[in-house]
Amino acid sequence: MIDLVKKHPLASLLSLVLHLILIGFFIFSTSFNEPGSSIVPPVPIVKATVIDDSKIKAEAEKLKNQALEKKQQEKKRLDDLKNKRLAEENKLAELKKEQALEQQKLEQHKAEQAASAAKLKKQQAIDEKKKADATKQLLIAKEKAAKEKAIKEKAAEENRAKAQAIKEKAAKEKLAKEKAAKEKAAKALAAKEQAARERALNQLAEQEEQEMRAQEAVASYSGLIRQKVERNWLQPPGDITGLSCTVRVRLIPGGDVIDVQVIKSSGNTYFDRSVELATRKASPLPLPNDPAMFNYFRTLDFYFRPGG
Amino acid sequence: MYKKLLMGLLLSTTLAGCSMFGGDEQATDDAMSGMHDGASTSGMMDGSNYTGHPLDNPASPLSTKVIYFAFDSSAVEAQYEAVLAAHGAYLAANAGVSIIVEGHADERGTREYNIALSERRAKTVQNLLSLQGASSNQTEVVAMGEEKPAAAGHDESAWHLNRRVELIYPAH
Amino acid sequence: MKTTIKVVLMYALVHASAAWSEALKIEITQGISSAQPIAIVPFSSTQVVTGVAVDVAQIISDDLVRSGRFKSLSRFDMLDKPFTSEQVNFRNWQALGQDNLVIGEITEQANGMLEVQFQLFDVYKGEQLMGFSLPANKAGLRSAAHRISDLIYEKLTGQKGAFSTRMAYVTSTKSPNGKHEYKIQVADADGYGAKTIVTSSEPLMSPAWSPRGDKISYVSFEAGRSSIYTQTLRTGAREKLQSFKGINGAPAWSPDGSQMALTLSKDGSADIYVYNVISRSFRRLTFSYAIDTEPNWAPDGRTIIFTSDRGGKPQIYRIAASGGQATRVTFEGDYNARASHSPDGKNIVMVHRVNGQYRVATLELKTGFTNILSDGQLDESPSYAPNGSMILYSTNDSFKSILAAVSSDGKVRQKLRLQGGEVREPAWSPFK
Repeated sequence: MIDLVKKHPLASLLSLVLHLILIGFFIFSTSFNEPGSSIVPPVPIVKATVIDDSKIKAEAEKLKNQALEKKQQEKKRLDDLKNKRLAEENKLAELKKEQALEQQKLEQHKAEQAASAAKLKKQQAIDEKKKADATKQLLIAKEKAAKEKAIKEKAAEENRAKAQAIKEKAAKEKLAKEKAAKEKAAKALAAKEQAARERALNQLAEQEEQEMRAQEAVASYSGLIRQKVERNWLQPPGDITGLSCTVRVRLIPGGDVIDVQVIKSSGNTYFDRSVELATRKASPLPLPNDPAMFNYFRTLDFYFRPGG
Repeated sequence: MYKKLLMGLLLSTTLAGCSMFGGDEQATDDAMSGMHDGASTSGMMDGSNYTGHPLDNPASPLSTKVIYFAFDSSAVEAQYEAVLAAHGAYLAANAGVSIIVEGHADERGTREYNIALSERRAKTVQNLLSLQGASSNQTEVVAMGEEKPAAAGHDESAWHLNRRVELIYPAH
Repeated sequence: MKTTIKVVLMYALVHASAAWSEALKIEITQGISSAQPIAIVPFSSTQVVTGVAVDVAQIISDDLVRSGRFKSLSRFDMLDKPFTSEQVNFRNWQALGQDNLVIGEITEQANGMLEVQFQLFDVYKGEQLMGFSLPANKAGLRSAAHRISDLIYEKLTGQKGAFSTRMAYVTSTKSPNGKHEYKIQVADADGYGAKTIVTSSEPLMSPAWSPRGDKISYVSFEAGRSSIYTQTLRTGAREKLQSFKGINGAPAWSPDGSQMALTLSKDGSADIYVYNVISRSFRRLTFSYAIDTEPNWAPDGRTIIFTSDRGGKPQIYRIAASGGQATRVTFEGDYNARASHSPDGKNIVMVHRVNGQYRVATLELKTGFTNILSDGQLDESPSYAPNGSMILYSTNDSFKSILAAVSSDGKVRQKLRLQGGEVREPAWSPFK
């Protein structure tokens, strides 16, 4: 029974009201004396339209979900962008760290080479002195040859050092080149990213401008709609201060009211009816000419609050 | 118009004593004061030769049996003191005579309030009669409010005639 | 810096759009307060009904319009005149700006009885709000029409209709030979079907209904001075209340019918007394030297308001029905008298003098707000309808006293044309 009432609130209410009137009539008629004027039970000529509000609810739910989804997508896109940028920045930091390590390695190598060269020189000096001590005579004879040999060796040694230096320099240059290339790549990436970001912002600014224009139109047409509904609102007599009622009105393009639903009752049937009637009588409601704007006005909630 | 007024004046001076309403219905405000003047000029007639009932003697204040009141007031105006004194004395001298003191109001104001207002007027008159020696069982107050107007109409001339107390001698 | 603003704006807009995608909210605080438009199509029939001279739709229309809550579409402006629901084209009635539509059909039964069927529609919703069928004989068609008015009124305003109620009033005529004739009559609330309940050559006044509507008490001067009578309407039998020297007036039944407040002057000046109907005893309620009269019970029966000039000028005072100290109720103006309560007890209606004119005015007891409802010079005897929607009173119209009705908000006034002489002191009956 309760489920039935929940399922068909309008029909149930109507049925209840009619039953009450019926009961009232039975009571009334028994106390009425004049002949031929008593009331018989009403002829059931009641036709009530039951509005399927589950359908409207589903529609509203769908619209709501779509909005939510759109919002989530936008957020995801922004999040992705942010994540990507963070990854790039991490990569760049890695690169810098790598370059620093490479440099350190190069310096160590240079120090090692210098140390081995010094050791060699010292050994040669000792050898020469030994030779001179052992064969002083021979030394003199061979002095020239030795000297020549020393010179030769020294030249070789110098050549070798020179070659080594050249080799080192080449390696160093190659490294620098690589570093520059890498830096350039990083810079290009950053620039690209910045450009994308600016593009996104411009797009949003444009959207924002559109929204602002839409908002202005919505505000001005809301005022026109409000005026038309107020002109058609015949307030019920008696004290209505403190009463308020919200109705949801669905429009079709062109502004015709196709459905009115009380979504928050005032608790006063006659007040509610006056509100419902006002929105129906105000049909068609004034709408902007731009058909794209209709989305803003598809569903309207009117909050009736006498006296403000 | 003036002819009519004069007629009314003459009628009321001569007939006021006999008629409860007749004079009032024809008379206007002016005629009423004229009637009063008539009483003071009655010396022209020879009152001592009057042979009818003393209550009907046009030369006597006893011939005046209706007194008038100001709006929303129950105070007896000075001009009526002699009239009430004469009636009081008459009642005192004739213990077997009893009268109805009938109070009235004009149509303005609510009906039941006017009943009470007319009673207050009648009681003021009753008190003045008692002061002259009329005993309380000789006078009965009846309050008619605005229910029995003496004059039709909805202006001050009619209202003035309706704010009144009538002294009714039923046996006379 | 600019970027930050943009981002903030962007954020705000995302939120705003989210809100709009649900439903645009519009607040309505102003409206118009005027009568509800209703179209009442002449009741018709597919068959020929003979001997019916009553225009049911016109009676309903007159009833509803008189209440001040409705304005009825003229028949000349109707685009069509349907009398069955199949014939109704709602667009026609919408085009005429009608909120509500009433159609009806009268059919004659085999036994000669009539069946009056009517339907009430919401024109903009295109739905039936109510549909009923009432049997009636030909003589009872007027009352059937009033009952339909009651049903429609209640359906559309939430307030019980008072069109099937009656009124009592006093008439006075003067025959060419100068004889006065006073009557108390009872008629339908629209003035039709008047029946005389008492006739006298001496004044009659202050008719007052018993709470059940089966008796009327009144003041009669038939014995040369005032007495209160209570007459049973059905039988015409009447009973004279014990009379006292001086005033016997202003009868007013208590809401439960067990007592009657009245004015007596047996102890000096006019004072309020309470008569116990069962024990037949009198109890003095006020003790002033001033005039105290015109008592009226509050709907809860606990207090009585009355007129008193104890302050110099007549004003309304209130006293507990059990007695005690009276407190003053009215302060605006120097003449307020003959007050009575609205059925809900929130207001009183009274005669209020303003610039020398006697007018009908209501006073809201909670706020003291006084609202003048009538515009005559000598308006008096206001009486609330049992549903509080209207007030009957008497007024002067070209030097003759007639009855008038005003909606309790003062917006709609109407004069009632009744036959015969001066008509005054209307008293609206309770609900049956």
